[in-house]
Amino acid sequence: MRAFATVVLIMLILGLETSCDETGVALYDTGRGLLAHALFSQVDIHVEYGGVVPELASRDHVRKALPLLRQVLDDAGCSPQDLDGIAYTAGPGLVGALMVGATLAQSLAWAWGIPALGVHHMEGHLLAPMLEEERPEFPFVALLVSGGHTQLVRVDGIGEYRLLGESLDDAAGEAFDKAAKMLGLPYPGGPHIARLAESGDPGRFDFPRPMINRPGLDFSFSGLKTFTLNTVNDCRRDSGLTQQDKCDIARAFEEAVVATLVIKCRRALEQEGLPTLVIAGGVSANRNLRGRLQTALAKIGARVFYPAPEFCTDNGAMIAYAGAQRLHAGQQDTPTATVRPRWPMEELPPLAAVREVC
Amino acid sequence: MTSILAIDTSTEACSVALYRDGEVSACYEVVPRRHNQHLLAMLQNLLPRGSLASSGVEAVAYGSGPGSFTGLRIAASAVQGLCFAAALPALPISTLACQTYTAQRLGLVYEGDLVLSTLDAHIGELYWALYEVGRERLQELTVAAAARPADLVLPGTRKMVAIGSGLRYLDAFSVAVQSRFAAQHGELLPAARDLLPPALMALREGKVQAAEDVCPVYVRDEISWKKLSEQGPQR
Repeated sequence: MRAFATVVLIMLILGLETSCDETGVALYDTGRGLLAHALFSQVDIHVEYGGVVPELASRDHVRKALPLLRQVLDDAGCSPQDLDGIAYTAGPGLVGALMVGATLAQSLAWAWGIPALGVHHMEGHLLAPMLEEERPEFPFVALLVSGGHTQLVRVDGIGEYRLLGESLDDAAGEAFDKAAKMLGLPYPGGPHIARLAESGDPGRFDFPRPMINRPGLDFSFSGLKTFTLNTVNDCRRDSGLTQQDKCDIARAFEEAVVATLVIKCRRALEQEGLPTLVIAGGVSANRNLRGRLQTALAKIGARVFYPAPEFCTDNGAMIAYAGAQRLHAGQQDTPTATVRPRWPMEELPPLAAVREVC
Repeated sequence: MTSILAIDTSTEACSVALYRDGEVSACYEVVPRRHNQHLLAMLQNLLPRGSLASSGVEAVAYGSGPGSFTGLRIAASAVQGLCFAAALPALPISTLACQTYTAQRLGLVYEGDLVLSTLDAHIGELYWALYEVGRERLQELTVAAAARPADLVLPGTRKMVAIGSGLRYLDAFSVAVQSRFAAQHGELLPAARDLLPPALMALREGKVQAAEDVCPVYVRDEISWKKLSEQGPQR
């Protein structure tokens, strides 16, 4: 194995993401930045089930990972001999899906004689804005908002995270998916709700903004879900749930979620006395959310950063980036490293501590 | 010189083996649900890290299935990685055939025997295939299949040796099936070293796979998940 802890300044890192229903592979160079990335989304496989079927997800990762790996090596013009390490998503996520990426990454790394490192999926999301030209400076507040998570986190550096608040029930993205299902829209619901909402009348329904009158930074979306279902049923009884009803409900639902997220983000920045917000995760692609955050934060002199649209949802680039930071600091898997389907982000070691040990 | 690496993680057992010119070194451990934590450490016992490409290994054999879905994927993903990294071909071998070679190595079955090789498929089913032990190789008489124990029907009338974890359903087999068993070995599990005899033949005959084509043979392809059209009203 090469001795890299002391002398290597530039590292080329392969990133593998297989935690849910997207297979992502990327090459990140700590000197030159992102060299190539490729993604296969399994949406078409899961759409007829109305959600992710874990067994089908795992089966598809096995088929897609290597062709994507070959593709990114070709796109970047790199040969495997150029690689200095492999980062893979070790959790949180679907255990069977995680296992595919972890086993592939570890066996590649073993055969090539380079280090491997299991990366925290949400740390990947949180650092995804760092792939952009304009990057946020530490410290900042991050809103991680996806189908599996809704969390506000204070970030003082890589691995220095303090949870400020999170959803007590459904994740925001999950609420989007469930509302979409009630409206007869396909999985995943976010983009479909957003499209219908554009033609919705904002004045027709007023949905509750959950938890905004409660102190603290926690979220709850289950009440909003029930309110949505009741409204859908009322419309169905009155007029048979017309297309306009659907648009109006989508509009009111999106408004309620976005308003809640915006209020909590602003409150978090004020509480922590920080001028920088990072939003990441699938829901951060929502245009209404981005626009409203920008306006609301400008009023308090704060700025919001978010990843490029293709790096809001799951991808290999964010895993390659996060892994590169940690591998570069000298962190790597122990021989018996395994996947962590549940993995609190606060358990991650700070990068500064990693550097001292290595 | 011929050299093959072999991996099986299809059951509670996790095993690897290395063949070099007639010499076999092997590791075998029963580690339910912890295969991925043991596999690399076991490989490390056979070959130093980073040395696969220069080790003289010509191909990697694996138990392709049937078996535990997660277990099969661990072997397949590991073999994909090893074969891609070291530019080696892969050799897929049936886990039920592998287990029959295990029985032969342990002296439980002999040339001319008919063997019912089974694995517990859980959720009340078993995987099974019927083999005849030949002088050189196994002859596969039926294609690997999944069945509920009571539905198992065996062709022919000859007595046979029944092996493998599917025999935990023995009492649920029909009387006709049970009456065919001359001997039973339900405690048996396949071991990677027994992938080597069929793998050597497959390598000689060029029955190899590229890394990208390495994929489990699940046998059970339907899943118990309801499509939207079969789901009830949304709540």
